[in-house]
Amino acid sequence: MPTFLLGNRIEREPNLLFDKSDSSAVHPQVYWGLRTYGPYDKGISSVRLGIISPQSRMDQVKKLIDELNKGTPIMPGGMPKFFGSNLDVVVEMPVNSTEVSSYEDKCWAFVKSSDPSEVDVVLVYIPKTSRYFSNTPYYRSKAILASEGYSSQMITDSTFLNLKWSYLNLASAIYAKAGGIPWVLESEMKNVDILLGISISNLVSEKYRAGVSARYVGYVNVFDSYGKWMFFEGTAKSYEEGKIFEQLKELLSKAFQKFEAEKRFRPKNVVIHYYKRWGKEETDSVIKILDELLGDFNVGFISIDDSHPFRVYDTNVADGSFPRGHYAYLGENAILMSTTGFTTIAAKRMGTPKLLHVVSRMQHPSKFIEMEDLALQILSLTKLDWATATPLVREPVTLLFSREIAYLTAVVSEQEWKSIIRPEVNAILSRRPWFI
Amino acid sequence: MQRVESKMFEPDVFKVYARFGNFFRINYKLGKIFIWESDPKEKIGIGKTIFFEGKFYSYEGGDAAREVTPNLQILKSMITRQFGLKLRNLKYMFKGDYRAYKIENQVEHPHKDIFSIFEGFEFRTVIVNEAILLCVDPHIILRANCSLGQLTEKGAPVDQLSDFSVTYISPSPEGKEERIEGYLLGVVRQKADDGEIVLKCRIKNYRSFAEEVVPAHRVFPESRPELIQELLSQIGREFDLVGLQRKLSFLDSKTSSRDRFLKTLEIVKQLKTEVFPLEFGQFKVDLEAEPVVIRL
Repeated sequence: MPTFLLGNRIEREPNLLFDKSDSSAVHPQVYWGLRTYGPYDKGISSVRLGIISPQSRMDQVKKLIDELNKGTPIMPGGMPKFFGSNLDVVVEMPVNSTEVSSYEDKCWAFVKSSDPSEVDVVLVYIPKTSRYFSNTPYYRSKAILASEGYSSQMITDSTFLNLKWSYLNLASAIYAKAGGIPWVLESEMKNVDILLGISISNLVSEKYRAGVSARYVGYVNVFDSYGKWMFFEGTAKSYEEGKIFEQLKELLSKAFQKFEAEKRFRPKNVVIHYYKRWGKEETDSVIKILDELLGDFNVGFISIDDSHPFRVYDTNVADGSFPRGHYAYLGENAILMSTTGFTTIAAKRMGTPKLLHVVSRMQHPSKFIEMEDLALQILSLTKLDWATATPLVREPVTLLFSREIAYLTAVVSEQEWKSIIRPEVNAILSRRPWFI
Repeated sequence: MQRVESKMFEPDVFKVYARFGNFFRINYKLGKIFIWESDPKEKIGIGKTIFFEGKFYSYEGGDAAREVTPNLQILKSMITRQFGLKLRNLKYMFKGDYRAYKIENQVEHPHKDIFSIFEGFEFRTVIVNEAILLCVDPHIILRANCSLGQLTEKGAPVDQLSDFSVTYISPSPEGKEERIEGYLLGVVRQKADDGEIVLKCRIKNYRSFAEEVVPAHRVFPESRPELIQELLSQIGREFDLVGLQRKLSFLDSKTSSRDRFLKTLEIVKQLKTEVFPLEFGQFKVDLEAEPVVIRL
């Protein structure tokens, strides 16, 4: 007699909405949604671009921008059709070499000679490097530009090698970083007013810091009930270990204040995604803070982890993958969920699906979200990465965005972090997903 | 529809079901468990005790111990410990606590002076529905064989060796050598007392966050494919390590999940015959070779 585990499936891909004034502008796939309806928020007619690139590649970059505006066979009608906007180059700055120091010098020259209110996104052509290495043109350019209030979009040789689909991914990321909203979920997530992707105790760069005590930062990305990314908030200063309560209080106070100002209501159902395991000290602290901030509330502490060896297979599927949207219960409050297994919306898959281990660690004061609703919530959130039109994204955007920022915090200096969070920069960057 | 080849398991769960996890039920004959007031390793020897929620438990008793009825978590912890010990006794090597491999499963390649690559597996024990399950997943293990000192002798430019994680061998207060992880800030040339120029590494110790200076022959690069790949290119060796790792991880296969599943069954078959049953105290622990079935 075999040992059984129960499983379940989400029957239908969640739909996306592509026009905030037309509730019928829906499609389950980003590509067809944008091609048919354009973006959700049609308020940006021009995206002002700065370019930092080796001189030898400058013409190639400008040709790319021209093609994005005019359109391609995959992207007929280009930016105007897909995003209702044009890309306009306002500053060009050639780099002398592909050394890190050249990029650092040029980025500093760029920020000194430009005004972030006049440049929406800086397009930086860099050599391709592994994420493993921190001292690279990618991270140094991103950190310097962000610390002065600029969103940036990196392009590499591989952008040009796979232009067919790179165009749309690039266009979408540029549009989002300019402050546009490409798409949201068609339907609200059940029993969620505010969704937080939180990250605490992230180590700040070792290299750029003096002293012998580790310094940490925390941040939070805030999403509404339609999964729309609203803003980013970070702790103003780095801090030493063991100051969880203070940093959580700072982050949550800022997040709820801003949410209430924008949405004009105080959220009641709060769901917090965390890519680590929730500790008791953390959950106790959050409850205490929410008692002070909200009074009447429900809060769900969800951890989403993929650093485990758990796998599920389906031998009825040609490649053996457990289909997207299917999940197995590892307990009353835990599931293993497939987001990159077999699906009819994407033909190409790579490797064995790395499943998401989703645990509802605690719901306070009582359960207000069922695991099945949580599974749908997480699958829906895999469709909201504005940096890609790919139909198959593994991680929910709460986790993905936290990770992107974690990569950056590991390489920026304390001074750069402080600059990114300071009020005048925060006013520009907090509403743009500059880190994607 | 193609099903998993199941010659290994005749009475055939694979003919009846299609969805499986990489979890395998652990069955056990319950023995006695004792709680000790303090660490009993001096009295009963090492490897017989677990430390769980602030208390010492063993399958062996003694004057300062009393028998208890163990909960499932204690049993799981005890079985996991004994499984790990048995693997070690059978000459399995470990990377971390949960990744095991055998030297004989080394993958052949021409740069063994720089790194080794092994086909191994990762495991966990979990409790689901009151059952203890062993999770097994194939895993490729990479090991750096060459110190930074040796790399410079092979031609790696000293000024390029910086900004990556390393492991270094340091004498511990007890006089033993221990491996410490840190971040390489750079490599510098220093004059030794005898006037000879030696290479030293400036390292930020990940544990203490203090900066240390360590001889380059005691420092090894982190075993990450991206890093080893970069170091190979720095000493002028052309080899696609990342490509090899992709191949061994089934990433380039069109039936990636199916291949990984079959490899998992192969590993479990070997564990079942080679490692199980585990016998300790009055316990006898066995592993089911058939994976858990997922029922939608």
